[in-house]
Amino acid sequence: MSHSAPPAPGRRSARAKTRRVDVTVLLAVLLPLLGLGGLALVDQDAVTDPVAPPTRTELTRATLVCPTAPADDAREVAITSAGEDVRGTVQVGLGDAQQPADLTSGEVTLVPDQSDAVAILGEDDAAPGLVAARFGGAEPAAVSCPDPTPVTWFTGVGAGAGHTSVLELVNPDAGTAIANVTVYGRSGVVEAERLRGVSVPGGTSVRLDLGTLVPRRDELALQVATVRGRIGAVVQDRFDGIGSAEPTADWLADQPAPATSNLLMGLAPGPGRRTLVVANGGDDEIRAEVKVVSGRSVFAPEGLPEIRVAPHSVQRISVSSVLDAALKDGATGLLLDATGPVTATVRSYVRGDLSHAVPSDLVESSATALLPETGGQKSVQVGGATRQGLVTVVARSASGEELDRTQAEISPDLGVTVKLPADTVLVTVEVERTTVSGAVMMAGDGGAAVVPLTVPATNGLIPAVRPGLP
Amino acid sequence: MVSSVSVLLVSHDGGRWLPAVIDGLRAQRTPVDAVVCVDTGSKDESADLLDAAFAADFGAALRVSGSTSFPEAVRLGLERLRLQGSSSEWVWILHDDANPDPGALAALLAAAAADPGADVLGPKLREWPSLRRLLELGVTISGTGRRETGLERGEYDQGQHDEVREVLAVNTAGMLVRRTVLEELGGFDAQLPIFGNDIDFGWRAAAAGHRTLIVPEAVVFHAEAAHRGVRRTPLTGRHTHYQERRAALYTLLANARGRALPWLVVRLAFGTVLRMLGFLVVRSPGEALDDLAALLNLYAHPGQVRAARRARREQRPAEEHARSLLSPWWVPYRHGLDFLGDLAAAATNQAQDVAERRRVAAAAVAPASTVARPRTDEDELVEDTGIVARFLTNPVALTLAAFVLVALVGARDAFDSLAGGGLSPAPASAGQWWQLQVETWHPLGTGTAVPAPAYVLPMALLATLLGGSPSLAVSLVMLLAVPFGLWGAWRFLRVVGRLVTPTGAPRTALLWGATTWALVPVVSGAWSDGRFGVVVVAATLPWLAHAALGFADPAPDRRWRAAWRTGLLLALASAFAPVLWLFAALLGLVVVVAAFLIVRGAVRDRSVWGPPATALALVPALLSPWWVPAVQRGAAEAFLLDVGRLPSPVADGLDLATGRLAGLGAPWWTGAILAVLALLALVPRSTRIPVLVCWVVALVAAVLAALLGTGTLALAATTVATGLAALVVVLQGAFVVAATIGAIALVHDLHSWRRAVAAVVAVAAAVVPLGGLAWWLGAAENTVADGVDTDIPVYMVESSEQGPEHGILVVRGSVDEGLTYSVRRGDGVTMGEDEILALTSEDEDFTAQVRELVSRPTPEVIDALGQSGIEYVVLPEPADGGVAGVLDAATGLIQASAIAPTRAWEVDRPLDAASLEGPTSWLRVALLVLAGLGTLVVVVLCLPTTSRRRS
Repeated sequence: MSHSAPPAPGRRSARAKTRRVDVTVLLAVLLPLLGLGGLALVDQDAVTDPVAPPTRTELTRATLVCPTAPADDAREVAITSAGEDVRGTVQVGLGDAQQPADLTSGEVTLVPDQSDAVAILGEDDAAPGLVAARFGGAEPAAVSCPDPTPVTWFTGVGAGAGHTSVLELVNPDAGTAIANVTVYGRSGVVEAERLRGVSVPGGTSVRLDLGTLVPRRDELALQVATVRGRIGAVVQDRFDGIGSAEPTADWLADQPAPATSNLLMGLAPGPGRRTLVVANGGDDEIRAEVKVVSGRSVFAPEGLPEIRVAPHSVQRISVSSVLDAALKDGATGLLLDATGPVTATVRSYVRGDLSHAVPSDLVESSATALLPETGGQKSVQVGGATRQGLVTVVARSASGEELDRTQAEISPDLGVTVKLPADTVLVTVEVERTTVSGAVMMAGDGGAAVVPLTVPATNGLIPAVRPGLP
Repeated sequence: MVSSVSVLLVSHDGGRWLPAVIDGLRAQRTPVDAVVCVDTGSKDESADLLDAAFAADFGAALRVSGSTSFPEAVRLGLERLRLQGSSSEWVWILHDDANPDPGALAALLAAAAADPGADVLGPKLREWPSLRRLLELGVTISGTGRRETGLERGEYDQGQHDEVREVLAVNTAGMLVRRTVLEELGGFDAQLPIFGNDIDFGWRAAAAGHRTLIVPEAVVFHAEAAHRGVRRTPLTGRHTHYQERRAALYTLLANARGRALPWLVVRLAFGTVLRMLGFLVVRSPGEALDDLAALLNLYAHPGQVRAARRARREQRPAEEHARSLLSPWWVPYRHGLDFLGDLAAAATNQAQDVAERRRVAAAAVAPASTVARPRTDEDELVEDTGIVARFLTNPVALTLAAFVLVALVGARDAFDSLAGGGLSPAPASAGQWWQLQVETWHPLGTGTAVPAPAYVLPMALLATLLGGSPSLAVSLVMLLAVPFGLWGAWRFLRVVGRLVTPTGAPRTALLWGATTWALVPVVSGAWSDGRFGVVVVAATLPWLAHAALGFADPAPDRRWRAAWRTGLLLALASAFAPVLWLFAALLGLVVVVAAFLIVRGAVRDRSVWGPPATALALVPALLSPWWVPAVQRGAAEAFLLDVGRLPSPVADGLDLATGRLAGLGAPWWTGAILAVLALLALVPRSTRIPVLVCWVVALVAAVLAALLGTGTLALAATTVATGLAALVVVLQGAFVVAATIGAIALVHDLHSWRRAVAAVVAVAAAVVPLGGLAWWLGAAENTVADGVDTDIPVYMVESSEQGPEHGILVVRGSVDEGLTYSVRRGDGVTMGEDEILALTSEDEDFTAQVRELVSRPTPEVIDALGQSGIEYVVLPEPADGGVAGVLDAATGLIQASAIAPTRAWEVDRPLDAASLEGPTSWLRVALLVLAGLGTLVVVVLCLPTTSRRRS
């Protein structure tokens, strides 16, 4: 801070003046340049906190829920562990009616007399790799018992006279659980007040007959979202054939989330009615293309136009003629490529029996399926390989005896079918160098059933936790 | 008939005045019976002078010790008279600094003869040595203990008070008192050794039914040596004010009516507090403390007053008459008003102008080089017309008023309570802010020792002044930020204009500059986004800059005053934006180096570099209770962060150059116009140097921004960019000043083509404030009024307000992408707590506890939650289904109701707040006390000087 007097005028002033003018001009150029240059260096980015994936840990607690027994001759629940060297017990039952059951790797335990819905709880060693299933008894039907998930989808359910479905919600915990069920129909979301906020008391199951609750004739899709507690959801689908044919039922497997590419493996052999149902829960119209997966190639069939699915709606496409021909040529599944995430099911009504092909878990290393002892011809059908790889299929009896072991090469353009011995009850599929998905097809005189290959949870996830902004 | 008079002269170190006093006494036209001199231990030649003058006729002076009080001296004098067998009717008391006019005694005696009922008579006291000014014409005492003379300060004696009248008391200097009365009343009260004994005596005399007259015809010149501290005696000590005040309080308490006493005790206590404030405001802390000490002395020793009242009980037949002579009840209030008036006058006079004083100083050095400010029509208007007429005929004033109105409309959201964006809700009471300031351990989150941000103190003060409403304080700050900034910018730019040229900047340029500057917090987006730190800095900066101009004052004492003011304002602004202090320090360094290069001699003068250095050093000193513990607790990131809720807006080069916070604010091109105008201001040669100074300021800000802008700060909860918002404001300020200075050159040279250029520039310039204002009124999205949504059910909030142990654990995110947690306690995160929570380092044990909770919630984990004072666990929308499933299955967690899809659980365990408690930091307590005292001292040093003290 200068408070000195201005420079005294004198002889040197002229020279000084020119010099000073030069300096001020120089500074007038230099200072803004430097200042704006300094500012140009500033470039703050809004710092986004990094995504922190969870760490994996040995699963210490696994819960599966199985639906109510479909018939008196089908009151058993099959359980096994895909984990290694597991020898322990699990709790089977709901609420107070729990009983222990043995669990051994590679062996199948049939827990008898479980006519109601049950939960299977494995803790510590018994938790990783826990798998359970229920079967249809005389009727060819099977369901792999799901674990309770916050959101899941069922595509191709019915609420009419000929085709109707029952949604069963099972609460394995002590507290009340609540689910919101959204129903999608052909022309959008269906008003279904009684399916909103469905309360499932602790240790019970609730069966919701859609034919009663939302009577309508079009194809439907359900999104079951648990808003409180844990709920395992299972859909049993019934089909009343034309004329004198007996009604038939089978479980419709769930699909955890919509996907742009859906591989639907497990097409019942023989002529019949086959329907592809596609649901779009998104806000945009979606176009989809159907390809047939066979042992020799994956190809787009003739005579099937492009599928368009409006937002929040369900589309039904009859694929009977396309598949009847293709099945003769060894087709094993359909591949649905869509422009956006969709859910899909192929429903087959063949020889008076109902079966469903639904997208199944992505198998990265190994997958398991539990099968009934009866059931006719059994075969594993896999496809959707991401690259050339090797698939090993091991078939076992209930006692753990290895009945068959087959290795097959798989490539992206092919489906692979591996026949299983008739008395196989436990199938393990191991995959190397690629990923696949698939199902076990059981086809006999009485009809067909499809058991998707499931990848049991072996790891628990420990979320990354850190302090956050209030 | 001639009455007989004995003179009683008391001296103490009065050698300076005594020769004249002795001459005056000798020159009396009326002879005296005797002269009794009492010397109380003079160290000078006083006693000898007295002996030389009177020993021959009346005996040597009585020499007593220096600790002899005035009442005692008078008593000794009377005894001497008795021993000498004097029969004189009157005693005339004189001080060694009271020089009687030759006719004084005669006039007094004449008055006594004219009014035989008079027992005490006093002369007119005039100032010595000036001789013309009136000191006293009788005195009385006000209800607050003030000595009332009824005269204006420094009033000249023009005979305006020359009538004989009855008064309560007269000064002992020149008091003519009937000897019998003096003896009957027991002389003066020994409790009043030097001061105030005259009023007490007068009061007692009046109460006893005696009459006191003032005789203006008698004149005594009085030096008031003891009162002014010219003469120190063992009795006055250094604290004459203390003695005077004590005497006044004693007089009131000893003579007041019994039933009025309780009220008086309360009133004097309150009055003392008020007086202390008054003394502090005029930078007289010593006198403030003297006042307090006097009060405490009397209140701590009630026995003194009790004894005095006992002694007075008998002699009070005319108490009502005495009361009528006291000063009227309204006198103290009038003095209060006068005082405020003086203060305002001093403050406004002070506000004028560094530029004027520099010019005067320069004129003194080289008269030819300076130009007087030419008179304008406006000046004449100012002199001729009233304020309303001036306002209505002044388009600039009208525009300013309209601008303020529009700004208030723009800030209309502030009429309601504000929260949203960067602004957390204000706490419910000012007490919570004070508590936040005072406590050294906060029960927030999982307990933290990170100190509250420094801005909480000024906000708490403001809230307390507003009746304890923090919400009102926040609203007021946001509402008045623009008008306050406008006022400051106008003042600052006006002085800058006068520094640049004697005529000052054209008023339209000032208008443009002030409005543009005032709108900086608005167009930057800070106002709309609730970035109150930026808003306060922007409103304070022109005042700060104005204070800093004082460093260029020619008078060193004013430069020092500027140091205190700048330091205080800088501390205030830095409390809201700590980066500002870094900027000021860097700027100070640059200026000192530049000054060293340009004027080498200046650096050697401590009064040149000292004030800025002091101002800079004051900031860490005053903010030490916040800054030191922040460093101590590992929260030094606070120095580089903007205040308010995180995440703060970021800025890039364009934002800084155009005065915007990223993604916020008015369209950037209006800011670009300002930058271009600041560049164009470099073109005119006449004003280039001051514009260059602005660019130096901008350069320093740019360099600091470049340095700070490269880094990010990793906090426990998030990683944030450094806070550059204060630098945005500084850059805008520099540009506005540069452009305003440029306008001076432009209007001085308006001919031919330049006129067209000026018109274009003026239109472009006008777009900046007008566009900003229009954007604010129309297009701004005021997230500051949107509120802060916490997704927490109301019943939980109510429960959490019951105590710190009723905490709410809020978990956000998903298993796949990671979860974050925060703990809400009390009334949630309120203003002032954001910074504490953000700067608190991670409680790793608690994080592990939460991780266990969301992955494998064993009963032990739930127990630990209760012990950590967590009552509810909340997963706000969108609640991760996986985590919700885990918590649903946990034993000890009960599902609690919440509006879907938010999920909530109640912890079914005993709650405990013990884990939230922490140790008290005595260091911080000590720093708070020291900084508080320091701030008081600095505030006193900042205040304008008034001429209240009699010189």
